[in-house]
Amino acid sequence: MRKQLPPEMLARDARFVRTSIMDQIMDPRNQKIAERNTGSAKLEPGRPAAGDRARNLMHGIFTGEIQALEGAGRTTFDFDETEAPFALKLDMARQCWDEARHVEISIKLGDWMGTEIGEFSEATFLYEAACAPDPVLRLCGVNRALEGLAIDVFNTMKEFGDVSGDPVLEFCEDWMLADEVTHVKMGSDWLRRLTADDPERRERALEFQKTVDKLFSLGGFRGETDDNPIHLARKLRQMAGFTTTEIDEIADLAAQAQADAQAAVEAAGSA
Amino acid sequence: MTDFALIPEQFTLVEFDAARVLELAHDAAAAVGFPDDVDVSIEVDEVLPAPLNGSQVDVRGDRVELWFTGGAFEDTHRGRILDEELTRTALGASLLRAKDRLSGAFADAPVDAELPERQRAIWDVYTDGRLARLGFAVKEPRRRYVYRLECGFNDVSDAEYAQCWNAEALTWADVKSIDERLVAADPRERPKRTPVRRESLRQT
Repeated sequence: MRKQLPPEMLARDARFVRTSIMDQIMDPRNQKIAERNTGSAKLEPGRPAAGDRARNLMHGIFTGEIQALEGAGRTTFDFDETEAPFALKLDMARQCWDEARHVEISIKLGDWMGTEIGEFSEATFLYEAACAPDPVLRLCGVNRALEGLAIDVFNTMKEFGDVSGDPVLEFCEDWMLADEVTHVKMGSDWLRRLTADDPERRERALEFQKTVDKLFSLGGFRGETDDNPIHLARKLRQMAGFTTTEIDEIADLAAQAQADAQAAVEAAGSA
Repeated sequence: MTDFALIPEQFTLVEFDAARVLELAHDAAAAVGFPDDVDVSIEVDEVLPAPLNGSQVDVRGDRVELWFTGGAFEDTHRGRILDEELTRTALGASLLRAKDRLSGAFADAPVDAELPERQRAIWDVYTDGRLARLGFAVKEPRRRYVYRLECGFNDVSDAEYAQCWNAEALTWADVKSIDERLVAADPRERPKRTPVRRESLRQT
């Protein structure tokens, strides 16, 4: 069986359609939308087309869970025990179980919200973060960055369910959120253990996490202002073991990612 | 045959075929039994993408003006590409609502720009139920979820939904009565709403 499986080899049936995140960022409509009065971008029931926005995001969560399952699964297989201790693989196997459950919950939430499997396109950038050749980089990219993003997204969706009075959404997101906190803690714990005697490796891993965190901010998707649909869940991130300094850094990276994306759109518009 | 005018005549930001949109409009008009002697303009705001899906219907004398966000016609897999099935259904829905207004049964209804979101949600369920029975491709579960967001996640709301979906001849007075029953059964605090409206989204 092949090790280090590239994203284009992920197994999907005919319902799934791939998209590139760059296509979305470089959409020529972006600059003109920014000139319109669409109000706060935060995902709330009071926002324009809130139902369709929530359905779209829920489908993104669903495909993200599939990729998180694939990423954790690959980590149990891609490394020998000198690279990744057996106890780490056990943790990853346990995470696979959580992710598989999240996929099933997400499918049922999709049914509840009127969304079919494959109704929206799938970007594989989450899985791409799980393709790093060093297991410590994967733990930082997936467990700390990706699962950290999941905390932000699930918290936003939980609040959406709460405010809209949707008992099913609020309940399901709360349960999945609890698992994500555990996954982040797991990543932080293994990062410390595997790099206890190798500060340079730890530094490389944390740099990789920063790159992934910036990428996952998706040019303004996540942040702390009304321009951002998903907000940083500071309290829950603290519960997962992030320090205030680390959370501030992620907030800065998110703001930087948004500024970069705006500059890219403006450059494309003037070209 | 109904005379349709498309605004813009050609699309520049999205890859929608204007001639195909007009063909779909003719097809949808025939399917919903839209009157032949009423002229219709179809304005598509191609700046506004999915999932910012919205539409508006205005009747001005013997002329109907339809407005859509580009997202209402857009393929959910491939941005900026026309989804013909979705477009036909969106056009059918607006033409059916225009027909309701022209019939006099909704003569007292506020114009779409001032229509409260919950009343619009009720009217949309009534519209989609009829469209589904006419053979249009309607995503009923999506309609149900959007309706529940507006009208409440409770048994009264679900029972009213079923009645609206199966109805063939509601009036504006019926919609208002349903709305009153939904308000009475809905314990939620009403958040400030920002609906998809041409007037507000056009502002810069």
